[in-house]
Amino acid sequence: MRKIFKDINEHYDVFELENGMRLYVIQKVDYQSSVFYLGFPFGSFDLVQEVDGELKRFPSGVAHFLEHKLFENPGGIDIMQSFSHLSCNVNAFTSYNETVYYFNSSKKALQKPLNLLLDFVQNLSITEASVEKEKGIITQELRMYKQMPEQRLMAETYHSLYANHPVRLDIGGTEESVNDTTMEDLMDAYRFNYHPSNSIMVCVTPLNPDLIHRLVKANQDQKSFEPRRAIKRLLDEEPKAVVRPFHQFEMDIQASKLTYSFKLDDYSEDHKLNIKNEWQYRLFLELVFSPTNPAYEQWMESNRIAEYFGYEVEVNREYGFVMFYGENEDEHDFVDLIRSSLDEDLNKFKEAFDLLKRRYYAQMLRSFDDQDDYAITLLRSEFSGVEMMDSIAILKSIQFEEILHLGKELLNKPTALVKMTGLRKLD
Amino acid sequence: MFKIKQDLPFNWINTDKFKDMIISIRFAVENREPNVSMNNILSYMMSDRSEKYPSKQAMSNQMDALFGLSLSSKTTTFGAAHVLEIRIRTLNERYTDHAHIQEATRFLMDCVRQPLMNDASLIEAKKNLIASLKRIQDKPSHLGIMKVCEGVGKDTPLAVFSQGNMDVIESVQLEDLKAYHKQLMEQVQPMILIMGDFKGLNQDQLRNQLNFDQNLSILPSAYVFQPKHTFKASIQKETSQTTFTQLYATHTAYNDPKYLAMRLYVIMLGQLPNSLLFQEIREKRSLCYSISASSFNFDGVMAIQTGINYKDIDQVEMLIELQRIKLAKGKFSQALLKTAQKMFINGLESMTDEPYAFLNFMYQRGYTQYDLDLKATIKAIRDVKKSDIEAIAQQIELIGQYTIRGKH
Repeated sequence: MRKIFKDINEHYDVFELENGMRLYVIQKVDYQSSVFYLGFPFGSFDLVQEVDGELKRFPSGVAHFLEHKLFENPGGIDIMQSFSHLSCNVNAFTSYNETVYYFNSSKKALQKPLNLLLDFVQNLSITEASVEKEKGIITQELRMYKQMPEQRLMAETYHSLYANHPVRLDIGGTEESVNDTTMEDLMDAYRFNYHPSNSIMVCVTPLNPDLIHRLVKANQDQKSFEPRRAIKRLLDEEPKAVVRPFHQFEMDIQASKLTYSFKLDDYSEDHKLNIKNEWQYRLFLELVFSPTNPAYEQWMESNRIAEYFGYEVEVNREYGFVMFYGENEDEHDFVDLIRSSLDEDLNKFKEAFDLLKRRYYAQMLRSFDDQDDYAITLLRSEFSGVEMMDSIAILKSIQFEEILHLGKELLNKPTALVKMTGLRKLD
Repeated sequence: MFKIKQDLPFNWINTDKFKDMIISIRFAVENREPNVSMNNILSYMMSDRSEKYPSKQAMSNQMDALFGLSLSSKTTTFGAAHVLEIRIRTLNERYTDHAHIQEATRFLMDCVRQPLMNDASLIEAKKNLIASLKRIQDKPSHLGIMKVCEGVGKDTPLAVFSQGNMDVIESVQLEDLKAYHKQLMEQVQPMILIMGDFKGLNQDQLRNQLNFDQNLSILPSAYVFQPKHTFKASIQKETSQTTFTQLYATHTAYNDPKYLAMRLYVIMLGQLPNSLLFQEIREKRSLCYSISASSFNFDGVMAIQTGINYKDIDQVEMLIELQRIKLAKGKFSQALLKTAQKMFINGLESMTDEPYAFLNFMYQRGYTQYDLDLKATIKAIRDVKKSDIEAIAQQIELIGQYTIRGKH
């Protein structure tokens, strides 16, 4: 099936294989290289699952650990090396909701690397010794991220906001959970979550989509898989209140930073509503907390904000938040700035609102030029059940009147303030 | 796919491959202070406000009106030269309901020629640049590279940090900055790169709009760093791991016939999953998560960096040295060299899919005036032999080491 989006000069082809795998091919004839992304909806949030009616608990970081171990093949052949021999860059990432394996190549002969990708991801081969050996590497990875100030600040903010939801945990887990992970955990995680019918492959290539389909099909037709299991992510109920309204910690840094966040509770099972809600927040926040607002310049002049100032917003089926970050030494002033601005009359921004929609539209169009961006966005959209082009339509549909109430609503949400200071700032 | 016309200082790249039009203006000056700090202040100011759009709001509104135009600026080091780049990116006119490229170009030129330079905007720029430098130094990987270059390269371009110096930034006066800007506008002909769909576009008009009326003078850029001394230092920080950085002189110039062999040497040593460092230190011994080698091509130096436990530092140092010896004695497989060649070529071939990567390639070609013909370069990469790698490996010299000792 071909999906065509004439007004933006884009199209892609969709194929469903007999084993349930879905293949999306975006043909870009002018491009030199091809990228392939193979994803599974198994991420760091999947710590408690109902599998065929039975409960299974995993140590935190298991999806990430599994991603590391898949790069090991029977006979000790290093997968990364095999890709390099074929002139391909291969890599993978684990995020909250998915694990994704990918490669790129400037060559036209793609059968071998494509087979290699499908074969290594569809064949876990580990030993007790190799699992133990990986723990040292992952521990160093966790430590590397832990010493990055911005990442640490975000991690502490999630800890302040959430009591139960796994967003409060690092994607890679903790040193303790990594050390507790067993070969059995990894094998279970793999058996339950890596069935081809769970997976989506996205390819951006100059080659003919039918050719890509034939290559993937030829590989998959030779394989048989266990029956698919019924899997459901289970989550403990998340209280509306935050865990820590105020938290301060120290790091060996020169530039102190802080976040001030609002915990949302108006997310929905209907993900289109979440996308709309998130766009509404983005439009509202950009109008008030960016140079679009004349007050922004005064805030900067009076040192209430610095260049390192901004916001994050996330609304999905499981949680939502609005987070502000900055470098103000006086946290009370920072909070006051945010709260008083949320209460502002928005009517003066009506004209800017229409221009802002134009900006976001241009940004979305731009993302179609980037092969990796395009592939990841399409993959995530398909996992979420909302087509990526719907997001553009949703943005276009939002009216100014719909965002007028958002600031006042935010003021009633529970908040968390997190402050990160240099070592000498604490007694 | 691309129709390229290089009539310096203009580089025209006509393509309908991307949805955007990019115009990039790049000024090159000598890589020394206070030039570098001045460039960074101007970089901040040029993308902040202009005389014509004197408030952040006016800038923002104008960019949105120009179909979400993005204006950005940055500074980069090219060896002995320091480059200030300001660019716009906006939709090609076939995606907009009216022609806007001329207006977008006018907007860009207003920002370049008349950035808002007054006491308040200077204070703001200084404050934010200093904060940004602090953030950079708070990252152990950046701090390690900065400190080892500073220690080894005293009084040379290597020691000059591309994002400026806190003390120099702090000391800049408004009049100095205005004089520097005037000099830049009147004496330095920038390189101009334009990439996009030129269908229906009046290129002559665009050329006139972007005219600076100077002759392009090419400053020296690539040089070969000659170490006068070695440097070794260590500090302690409350970080979760130890960051270990080593710096080497490659003694290989950018236009040296052995340059491509040097690039392949660095790839074989530490840029691939089957690179010697990655295999020996991470895969075999689980001593680190990341270890990599990188070359500073315009300076003739190379760095190796990794994050480890402090107790393993002697072992890691010894293992790094052993891998270098392997390459120098030819104790590596032909397959490793072949893989490095393939990956190097793959990177070059993929470059045409990334607009900025291709613009940078064009800039280097124009600026260095070396023959960077892609096909010839790819052939030259394929022609590198095992003995060439050995020869390069034998001339590489350890010149600096910087350790940030963490809690582990």
